[in-house]
Amino acid sequence: MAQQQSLVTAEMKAVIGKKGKSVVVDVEKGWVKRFCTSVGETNPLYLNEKVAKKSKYGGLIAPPGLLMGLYLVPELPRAPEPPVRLPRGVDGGGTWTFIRPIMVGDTLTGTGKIKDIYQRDGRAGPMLFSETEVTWRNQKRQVVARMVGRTIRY
Amino acid sequence: MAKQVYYEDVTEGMELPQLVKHPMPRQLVQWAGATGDYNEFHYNETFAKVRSNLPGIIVHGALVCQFVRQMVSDWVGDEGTLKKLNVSYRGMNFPEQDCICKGKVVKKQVQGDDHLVELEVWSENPKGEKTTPGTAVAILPSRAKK
Repeated sequence: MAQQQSLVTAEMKAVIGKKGKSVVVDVEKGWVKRFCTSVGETNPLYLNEKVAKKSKYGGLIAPPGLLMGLYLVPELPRAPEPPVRLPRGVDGGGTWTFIRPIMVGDTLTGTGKIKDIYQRDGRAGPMLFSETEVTWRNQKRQVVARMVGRTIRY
Repeated sequence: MAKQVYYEDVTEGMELPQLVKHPMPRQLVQWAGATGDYNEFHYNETFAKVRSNLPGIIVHGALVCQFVRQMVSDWVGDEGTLKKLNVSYRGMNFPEQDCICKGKVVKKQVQGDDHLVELEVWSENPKGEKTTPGTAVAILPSRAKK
């Protein structure tokens, strides 16, 4: 039997672990509102200043999902193109770790790197997985969240 | 908001209250606007069928993930904190159909000052297929610490 071609090239191996560009986002009230509307949630901790002020946070917080919506930010690193044409690409999911509350009004800096690139051979043929890790810090340089997203090409 | 759940109220195997969503195409467009995910098979029926070979437009996996996350956020309440969420997008949810989010407590344990619960979470489509299986970890308030 012919050996299955490896989709993981030397070029890909070389980018694993390297830091990419940083991206800066302002956690604006309007963005939080648009985000909550799109999810269909009305939690006053995210939307009602009076209620949020009396909470343990002392002010409006962003829903933990807000940064989860930044999966297509162009500054975040992407895996190099595979050596053969893989026409389909899907978002495979991910792991999100919430370390500190994100307050409305924060300025966050996300720094990404390619965490891993690997191949799995499934029913649909060879699949190329790439994992991007992004660490988000607030203006006090405290880490607020870490996220790993998985993209699958096949 | 529902009343606050405490660590002492929770038992392993206990189910979380379900969150049932019924996303309409409008909501998919709102998600696209809020996140910048303008992949056309989420709002253009012709594109979804002809170009992407799908039965019709599909709900963004990341939006279904938010539904699951919202179920956990609602359950942990104002005093609880979601610490970790891990999901895989395995199946499809279609708009104008129910997207049912479910969860159950797998384990509870005290670690230092934190009262932790580990959850199994997922979404289902009306066929009962798990479309977004995953796990979550949350900190709940304790009555002992009040």
